[in-house]
Amino acid sequence: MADVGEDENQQESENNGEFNWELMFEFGAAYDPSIYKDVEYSGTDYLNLSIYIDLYYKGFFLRSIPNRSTSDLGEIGYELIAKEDWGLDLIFKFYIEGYEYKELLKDQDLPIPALEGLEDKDDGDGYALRYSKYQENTVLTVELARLNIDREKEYWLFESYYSHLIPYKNWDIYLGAGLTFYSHNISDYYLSINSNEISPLRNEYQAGSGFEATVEISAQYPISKNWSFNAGMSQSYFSGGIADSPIFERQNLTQFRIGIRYVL
Amino acid sequence: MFCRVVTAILFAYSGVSQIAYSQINVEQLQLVVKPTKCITLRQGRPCFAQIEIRWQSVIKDDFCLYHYKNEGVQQLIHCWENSQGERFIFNFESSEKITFELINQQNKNIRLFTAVEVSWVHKGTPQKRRWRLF
Repeated sequence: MADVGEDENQQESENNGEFNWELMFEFGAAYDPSIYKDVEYSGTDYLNLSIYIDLYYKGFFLRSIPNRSTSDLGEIGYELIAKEDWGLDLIFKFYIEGYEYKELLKDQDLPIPALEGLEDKDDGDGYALRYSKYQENTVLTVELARLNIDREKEYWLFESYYSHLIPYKNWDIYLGAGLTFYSHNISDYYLSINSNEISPLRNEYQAGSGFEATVEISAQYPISKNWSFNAGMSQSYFSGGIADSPIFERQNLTQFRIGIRYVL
Repeated sequence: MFCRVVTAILFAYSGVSQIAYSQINVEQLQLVVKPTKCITLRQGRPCFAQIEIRWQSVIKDDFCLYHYKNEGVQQLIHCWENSQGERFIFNFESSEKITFELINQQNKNIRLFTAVEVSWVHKGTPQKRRWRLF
């Protein structure tokens, strides 16, 4: 961390001149249930092998996001402004996982009548502008994203996240809180029931805009030069418009993760 | 002949430390720390560990133990008088290597070094980030 009095121009040039990379393999267990109705969580789902990558070069970066998927690209971006205590990034990021009914069935023993007949939904990724504010051991990020789902409508998403690091001896303990606002086009696309998707188990439904509030706690501890221990849990709450969808499983979502990480 | 006898007698009754001074050398000292490495999560982050320091000498003498960081100021940890060895627990808290130095107080040229290195899991990067677990 640079000193407060360091010249800002020097700090910026140092940031943009280095190539940094990090590759991580995480082995562990995770409880990450589906948000969609009646999708059972099988025993093999608890085992988790994840690959994370973090690349940085002259303001350009690429990194995976742990919760989105095991190996898919998380976000790629460029630092438009990189100051000591704040920054502005242009990013392309993966926000929402789409679904195909036949893919959901792969790990299921039985059909899922609540989801049968639904139209496939594409992944929700898109461009965003992200503002980050850094202070001591805290960071606040605010991002406005426009998802590339289709060209018929505009799909806007607003996400903010606050993280506070508590270092205790060799432990790093993170407390986090996030709020994501989904425009009605996004909620409708993923959670509404169109007239041609009506079935005995689901009526026509319009989700409308909604939000997701999340609190997280996680901890890391170094085991050796290349290994660390990681654990954490997350609790999310979905607003009524989202949670009331006939294909949405739960208004409150709890996720756990524990494992060891090998860092290259 | 008489002068030689007197000299020999005076030398024989000189202080023990003088005999020790003339006999001790670096090879007769031992300084061991355990562990020799402290692992921290991120480069630049302080690393915490309890370091066991053991030193031993073949003869009793006065020794002092110091520590310092790279190019840093030497800081006294503890001194022992008329001792042949000790075990000491040091609370290590540093983001860089700390060198320990045992110095004989009768002859400051008799000194022994050892160090505890700091290594890390995540190397420092210019990009600030906070990983979300979920």
